[in-house]
Amino acid sequence: MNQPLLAEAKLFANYLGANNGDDALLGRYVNAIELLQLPLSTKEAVVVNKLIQMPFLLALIDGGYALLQPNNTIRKRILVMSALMETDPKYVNRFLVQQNSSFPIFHFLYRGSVAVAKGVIGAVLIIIFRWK
Amino acid sequence: MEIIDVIIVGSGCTGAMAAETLCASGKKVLMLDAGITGTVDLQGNDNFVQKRFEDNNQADFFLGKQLEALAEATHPNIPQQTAQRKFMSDDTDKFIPVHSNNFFPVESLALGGLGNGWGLGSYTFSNNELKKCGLLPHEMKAAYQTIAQRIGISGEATDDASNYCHNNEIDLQHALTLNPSAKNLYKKYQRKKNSFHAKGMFMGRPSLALLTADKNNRKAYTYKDLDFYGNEGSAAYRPYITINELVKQGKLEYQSNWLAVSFKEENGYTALDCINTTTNERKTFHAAKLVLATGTLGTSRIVLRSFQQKDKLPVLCNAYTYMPMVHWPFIGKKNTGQFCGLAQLAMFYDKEHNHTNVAMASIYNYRSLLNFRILKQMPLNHADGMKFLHLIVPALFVAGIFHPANYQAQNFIQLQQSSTAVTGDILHTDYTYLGNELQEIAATEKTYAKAFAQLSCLVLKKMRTATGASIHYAGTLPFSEAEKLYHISPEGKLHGANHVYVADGSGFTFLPGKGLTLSLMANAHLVAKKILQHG
Repeated sequence: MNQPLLAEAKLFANYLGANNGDDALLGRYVNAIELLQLPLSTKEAVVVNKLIQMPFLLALIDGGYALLQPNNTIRKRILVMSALMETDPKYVNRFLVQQNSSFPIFHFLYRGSVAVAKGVIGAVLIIIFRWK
Repeated sequence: MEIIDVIIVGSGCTGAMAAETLCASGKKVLMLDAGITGTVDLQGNDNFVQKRFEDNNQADFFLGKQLEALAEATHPNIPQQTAQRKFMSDDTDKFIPVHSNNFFPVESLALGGLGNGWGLGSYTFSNNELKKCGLLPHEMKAAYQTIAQRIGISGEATDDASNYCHNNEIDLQHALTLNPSAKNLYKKYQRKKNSFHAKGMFMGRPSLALLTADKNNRKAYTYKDLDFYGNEGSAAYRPYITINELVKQGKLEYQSNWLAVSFKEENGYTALDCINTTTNERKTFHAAKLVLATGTLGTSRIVLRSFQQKDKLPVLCNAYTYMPMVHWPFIGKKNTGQFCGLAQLAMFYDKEHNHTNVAMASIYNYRSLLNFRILKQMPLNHADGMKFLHLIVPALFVAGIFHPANYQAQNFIQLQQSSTAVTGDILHTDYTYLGNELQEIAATEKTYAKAFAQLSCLVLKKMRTATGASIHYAGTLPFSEAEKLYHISPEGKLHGANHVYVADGSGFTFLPGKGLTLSLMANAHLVAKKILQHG
């Protein structure tokens, strides 16, 4: 299997909260990227390699790109992982609500605020690192 | 040389209705069509939720075996297309190319045309709207009823919107059961309806070409929420249902793989030149009468080639605003129950209170198109975005607003020569919204956003889509009593030709801001009736 893509698959799967060692999901991701042909630019490839070494930065950088460069290929590839998880029965609970949530408005505001804050920090980092 | 009584070009909603009327007379009718097909009938008995929880191969179904749902969109106005509906737009770039910087029409070469993806909204036009369109109200009213009886329409007989939906002019099956969040939204509207009425806003149940009770061989809708993927029991009306039935009964001859290019008239009949879409072979078909029903742009191409290619034709297209919004009370609510992905509610904004320049919003809940399509458009990181969407999707509505369209001098279509195109030409289009029209659109968007806020909805974004996204095109060959080239008589006959009729929306001189398919079908039926009257 394509090793660099596999490392990237692990990074994105962990980031989105997939089960550790879900080889089937990782394999599907590798096949999907090969099929869809979403080539990374040289700069994007450098960023992905850095993120593999520093996975804690991924949420920030992803959020930053969402604000600065929404059509960035790294984001497109993360979306592929998200779609593959969404169409896997193991992860369906993360996409459909089976029971009414408690304090939904609080969660809504909290989740939204956290995501926006990460985006702003990420945008600053992208500018500092010149990853745009 | 065989001369057929009537040749119909195109198999969409208008072609199907013209065919049904003509075939009933016993005439020999041939339908010519590119006729690309896909799989639109669901297999198995799953519903959406079952499939999501149990089917290990669901990715093939929801994303497509070639991951079509994840592929980069090649057309700006079909971003939400599912893999099952991709066939609708196959090969259009090759056979009916368009060049434009600002107008991106959606066309189809499929059996059933764009009718395969029709949202099923079936609305009659008011007398004022019909007159502005150049249509005769008394004839159209009778035709609406004929079409409703053929295709089956469900809706609410009496509610605030019924005057705008059907005005009790057609037979209706009972309306769909509302999704829980739509029910809640509707109740809120009913509590505040006086305030809405004062602003000229009316909400109710849309009339849909969807069966809620069995009809002939078609089955009632089953609430499996797979509406964008298939058509179980043929509950939703699609033109292929009529065409397959007429062919089965031996009343209609259907030939696929033919792209009509141009016509000429000779000795009392019409010769239609076609290209075979698989072999590139050219063939001429002969008919006593020719009916063009390939959609406004397709018909215009054929007419322009047949007359004089250099001319510019006017064109109408509804502006379309897409408004995703969150209905606060349903954030984080369970969303695994019975559900329907089709339009739940319809809201009409009749600013002048005269049912002429109405702007309609179709209101949908969101579920079966999956969260990733929304995630893609959110300015958030994916991990938090997924969690955020998990909470808001049960509360997510999407309103699609159609704005009325009048002729504007700057908008046109024109054929230009192209050495690379199969037909030797490409459709050049230009369409912009300017001045008063643009201000009206912005004012309507603002009014709707305020109305939705009153109904506890937080509008996330007002997205004015790329021009052409409404998939409503008309007016290229306006109705006219006077014998003018590139015009159609009120009876549907093309001026400048003796035996050529137009059964699609090319003649409409105005596009009301609401679904127009029922009116297109009613007009096609009337054109076919006139052909029969003229022998």
